[in-house]
Amino acid sequence: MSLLRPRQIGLRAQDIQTGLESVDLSAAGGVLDTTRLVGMAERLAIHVRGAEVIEDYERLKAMAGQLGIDGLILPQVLDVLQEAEFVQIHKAGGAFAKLYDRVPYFHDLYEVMGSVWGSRRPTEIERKSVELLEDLSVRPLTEDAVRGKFDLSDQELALIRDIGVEGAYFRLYESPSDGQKILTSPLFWDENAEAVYQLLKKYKADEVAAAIAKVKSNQGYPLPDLTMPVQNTVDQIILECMVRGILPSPSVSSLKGEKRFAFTPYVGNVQIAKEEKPILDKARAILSCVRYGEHFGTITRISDPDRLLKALEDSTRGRRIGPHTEIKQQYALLVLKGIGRITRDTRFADRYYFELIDTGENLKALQLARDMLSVGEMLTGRGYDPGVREILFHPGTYTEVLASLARLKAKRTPLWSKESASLILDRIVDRVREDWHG
Amino acid sequence: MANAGEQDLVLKARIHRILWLQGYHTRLNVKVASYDQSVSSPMELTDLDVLGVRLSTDYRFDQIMADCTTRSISPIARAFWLRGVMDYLGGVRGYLVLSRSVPPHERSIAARLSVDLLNEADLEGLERRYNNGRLPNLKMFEPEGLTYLHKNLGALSKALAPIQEYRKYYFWMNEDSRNIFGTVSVVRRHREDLNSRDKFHRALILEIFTLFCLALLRMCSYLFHSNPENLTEATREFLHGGVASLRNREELLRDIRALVEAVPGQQDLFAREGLIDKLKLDPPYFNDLMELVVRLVSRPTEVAEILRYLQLILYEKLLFRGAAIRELIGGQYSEITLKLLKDAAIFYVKASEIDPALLAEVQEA
Repeated sequence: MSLLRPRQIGLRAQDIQTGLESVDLSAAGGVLDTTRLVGMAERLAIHVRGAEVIEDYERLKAMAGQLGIDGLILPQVLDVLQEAEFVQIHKAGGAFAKLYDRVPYFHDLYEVMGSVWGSRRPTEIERKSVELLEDLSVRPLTEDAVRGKFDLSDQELALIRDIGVEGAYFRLYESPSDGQKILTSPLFWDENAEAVYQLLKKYKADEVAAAIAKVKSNQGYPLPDLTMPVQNTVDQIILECMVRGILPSPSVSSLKGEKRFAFTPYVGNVQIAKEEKPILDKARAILSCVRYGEHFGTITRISDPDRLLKALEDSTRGRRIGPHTEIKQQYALLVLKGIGRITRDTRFADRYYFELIDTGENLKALQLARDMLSVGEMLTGRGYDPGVREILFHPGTYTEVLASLARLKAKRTPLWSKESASLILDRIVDRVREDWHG
Repeated sequence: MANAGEQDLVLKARIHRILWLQGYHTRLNVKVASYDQSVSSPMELTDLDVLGVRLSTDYRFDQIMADCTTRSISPIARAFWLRGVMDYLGGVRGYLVLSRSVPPHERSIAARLSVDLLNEADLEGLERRYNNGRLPNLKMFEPEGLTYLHKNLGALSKALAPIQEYRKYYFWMNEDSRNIFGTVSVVRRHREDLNSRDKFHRALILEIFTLFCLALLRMCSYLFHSNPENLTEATREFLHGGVASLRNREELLRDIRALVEAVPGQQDLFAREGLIDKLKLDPPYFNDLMELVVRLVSRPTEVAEILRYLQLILYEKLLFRGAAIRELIGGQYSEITLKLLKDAAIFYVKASEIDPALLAEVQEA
C-alpha cells in the first residue's frame, strides 16, 4: 500500500504518463502499466468532460491518439474510467455503441483516480516510482539516500531511474563540486540542481524537505523579515532558498514596506510549464499581492484569500475588488505585468479599486493562483489541450483537425543501463521458465 | 349518458393533447392552496384543469393554462377567474374550453386578458391544425389513461400521504428554491415506506422526480440569465433566497454551532461523533447538485425536452408498457437529453437515499 494520499498519486501518475507518452516501453514488460493507464485515463477524462454523449468511436480514438493513447490500449483506458464511474460505456452486440460522460467538475478527479490506482494493485516498482517522484518534489536526493529510503537494489534503482530519465521526470545530476550523484526531478528543480545540492550539504535532508513542503502547502509563503533574527531552521532554510534562487520569490511593496513571498518552482508537466511560464509568473504575482493583504494589511487584513480571488473571477462584479486605501500600492505589481488596472473610487478619493484585465492569459493565471492556494500546484485544466478536444466537436472529418495538429511523434526507445537491462532480462527469462507472474 | 365530470374529463384530455402538440409538458388538476394557522394541512382554494410548461432553447419558461367546463356558466366571468389564476401561477396565456356557444363580444374581451375562448368548433379546429398525424396514439391523451394514474395514486397507503400532499399542494405553494430541497427531503423521510416492486409507488416517485426536475430547470433558467460564469455562488444564493438571506442563515448556523460547542455535559458527544458537522448550511449532496447544474446550464437546447421525456416515460413506459422513447419522440429525439435526464435521476436517487429501482424506468429508457 502506498504512503501517499490518493490525490498525490493521481497527480504523479499523470506526470509519469505525460513524460512517457512517446517512449516505447514494450521491452520493460509492464513495469509501469497501472500508472500509465491511470495517467492516460486522467488526460482522456478532462478532454471528454462536457461532451455528454460520444457515439463516434473513431473520433474518440483519434482524440485519444493525440494524447498518446494507442487505439489498442483505449479499451483498457475506458475500463479505468468506467471503474472510476467517470464514464458509462454502452455496447450493442459486444461493440462500442456510446459513451456517457460523467467526469466530475467539482469532485477531485485526481483523488478518485489515485484510489483507482491503489485498487489495481500496482507493482512494487511503480509504487516506488510514484513515491520517489513525489519525494523529489520537495528536494533532490543522492542516489544512496534513494536506495536507502526506498529499499531498492541497484537493479531496481537503475530501472526506475532509467525509465524516469527517458520520461524526463527524473534526471541524474553529478555535482561538479564532489562528483556526488543526485537524483532530481526536472519537473521541480529544472534550473537549480546544484544550488539545492549545496543546501543539502548544509542542512539535513528532512529539514530541507520540511521547509519546501511548508512552502508547497502555503504557496506565496511570506518570507521572514531579513532585519530580524530568524526564529527557526525551517524559515532559515526558506530564506536561504530565496537567496540562492531556488525558490522564486516575487516582492510586493505597500504600507508595511517591501515583502517577499516564496513559491516552489513546480507547476506542472515540463512540456506544459514551458509554454505557460508567463501564466505562472502572473499567478505568482497575483498570489503575492493577496498574501501581502493577508499578512501585512494595515487597516484590514484579508481573511479569506480564495474569496478575494473568486471575486476577481466574477464577471458580474466587473472582476473587481475594492475600494480600499491599500490597493493602489499593493497591486501596483499587477498593473506593471498587465494583469489589471487601478481606478480611484468616486466617493472616497483615498480609496481604489483593482480590476482584472479580461484576457485569456490573465484568467488562466487567476485560476492557477487559486489552485496554488488550495492544493499547492496546478490542478485545473492540467494536461488539457483545446486543439485535441476539438477533434470531438469538429463538424467536418476529424482528419482535418489531425492535420492541423501535426502531432506525429516517433516513439523513442529508451537507453538502458547495464543494471536495468539485466533486471529486465531476468524477469523475461523467469516468466518463460516458470510461468511466473510478478 | 356521461356525467358532467366525465364530460369535463373528455375536454381536458383533448386540450391536454393540443398543448402537448404545441410543445408543452402538461400537468392536470393543479391545486391552488394556501396555509392556514388553524389547520395543519393546506387549505384548497381552487384548481386548474391543465397547466402547460414549456422551456425555450434560451432557457425561458412559458406557461399556459386551460380550464374546461361543460356547465352552463358565463364565459367572460370564467375568463376573468382564469386570468386571476394565471397571474397567481405565472401563466401568460390561457384557454377556456366550453361546451356552449361563445358570444363574439366576449371573445374580444377575453383576448385582452390573453384568454382564448373555445367552443366545440374552435376545439376541433385547433385539433385539425395541430394534428400532423405523425404522433402515435399515446395513452396519456386518453381519458382512461389519465384517470388510471389518478385513481391508483389515490389508493396508495396513508404512509405515503406526505409525498402525495407535496405533489398535490406544497410544490405549487412553495418557491422554487424550497422545492429543490423539498422534493428530495420529503421522499428521503419516507423512503422506508416505498416499495420498488409496486408500479404505483414507482409512478409516485417518478411524479415527484418530475417536479424536482421542473424546480431544477427553473433554477437553471435563473442561473443562465443571471450569473452563468459563477454557478456555485449563484446557486447558493438562489437556494437560500438571495444574498441577504444566505448570510443570515450562515450566521444563524454559526451561532447555533457556537452554542452547541459551549454546552457543558455532552460536548464529547458532538465532537467525538462528528455530529457537530451536521450543522452545515449546504446539504451533503450540494457538490453533486452542482455537477448536475453545470451540465444542464451548458446545454440549453437539449434540456428543453426533459420534462416531456419524463411524461412519456411515466405513461407510455411505466403505466402502459408502450414503445421506446426514441420511437415516441421521433425525429426530435436527442441522446443527450436522455443522458442528462438519467444524470438527474442518478443524483435524485443518491440525494433522497431511495432504492434505485424506484426510478428504473428512467435508467432503462
